[in-house]
Amino acid sequence: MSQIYNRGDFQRRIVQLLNYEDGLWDIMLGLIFLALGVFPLTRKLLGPSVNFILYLAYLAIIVIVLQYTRRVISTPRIGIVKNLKSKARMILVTVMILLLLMTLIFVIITFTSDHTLPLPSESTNSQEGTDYRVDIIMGLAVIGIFSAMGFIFGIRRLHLYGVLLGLGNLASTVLRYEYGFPFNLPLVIASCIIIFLGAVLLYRFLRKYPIRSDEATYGRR
Amino acid sequence: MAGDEPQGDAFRPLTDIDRLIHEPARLMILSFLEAVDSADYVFLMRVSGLTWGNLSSHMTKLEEAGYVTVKKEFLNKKPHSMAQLTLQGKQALEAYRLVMKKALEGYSL
Repeated sequence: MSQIYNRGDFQRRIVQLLNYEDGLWDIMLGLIFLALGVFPLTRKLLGPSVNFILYLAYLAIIVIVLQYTRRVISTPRIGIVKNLKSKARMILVTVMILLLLMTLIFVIITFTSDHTLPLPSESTNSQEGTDYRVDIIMGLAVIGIFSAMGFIFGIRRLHLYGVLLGLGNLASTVLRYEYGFPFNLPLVIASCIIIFLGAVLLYRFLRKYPIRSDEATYGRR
Repeated sequence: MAGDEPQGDAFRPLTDIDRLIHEPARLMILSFLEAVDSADYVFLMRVSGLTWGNLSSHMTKLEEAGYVTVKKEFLNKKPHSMAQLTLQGKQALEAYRLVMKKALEGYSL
């Protein structure tokens, strides 16, 4: 605790403990991008519309399961907090909205149609080489958002996630369009790394924070 | 010795500092409670790194001073305590912050 000096640090520590220490958020993130990684395969099998609906249902299930798991696993171990105040809540809400918007844009671009945006432009002709501007911008946006989150919440692994997902997306597109890969292999690998790290964090969390029953013996005065 | 008196007065704000809050563990508890609406003992223990006994002892002192209120209830048939910073506690914390800020102003080591 020696590194905490001011109000911002206290709020940051609270947000870290509530949202990122149990690794569940990491697992959820990995699962979301894992689905994006295999989308070309499911899209080929199911068609764009069904695939899109299925993905939304998948997202909803992941969020519900995460909330439930957090309530069952994390809350008894780290306790209950009501209403984060002012700045911490504002930052958390802003980041969540940004992340949601980014995911939505990502999903819409990748699921609806190859032709809504000049994704590695088949439209720009192959004589001049493929144009990856959109993918580079997307990659940089992903890296930027995750880095900002990492900086705001003081969680260094988010910088790594940004690089993994940003570069993974770009590499996936290159592999798909240049070498004909049937799905987004780099994105799948990046997602698996994130899920693995989340699982390690969850394991550490469970060991570090056993369920307390002390209040029954000490807490009552 | 006559010259001692004014000097003593000059340092009076520092000697009048709220010693209840000045204790690091209690300052930490109040600071965490200031950032939330309310939190239970388990959360305060986790986030502060204090042992259960230590936390309980500090909470008793803070509650007796009127800086926090502790609402006791049963959750799944187990005792459960939610702590909340009172207005008095918030004012005391702010007063402490101002005194310390003034006291340390201009220090450069």
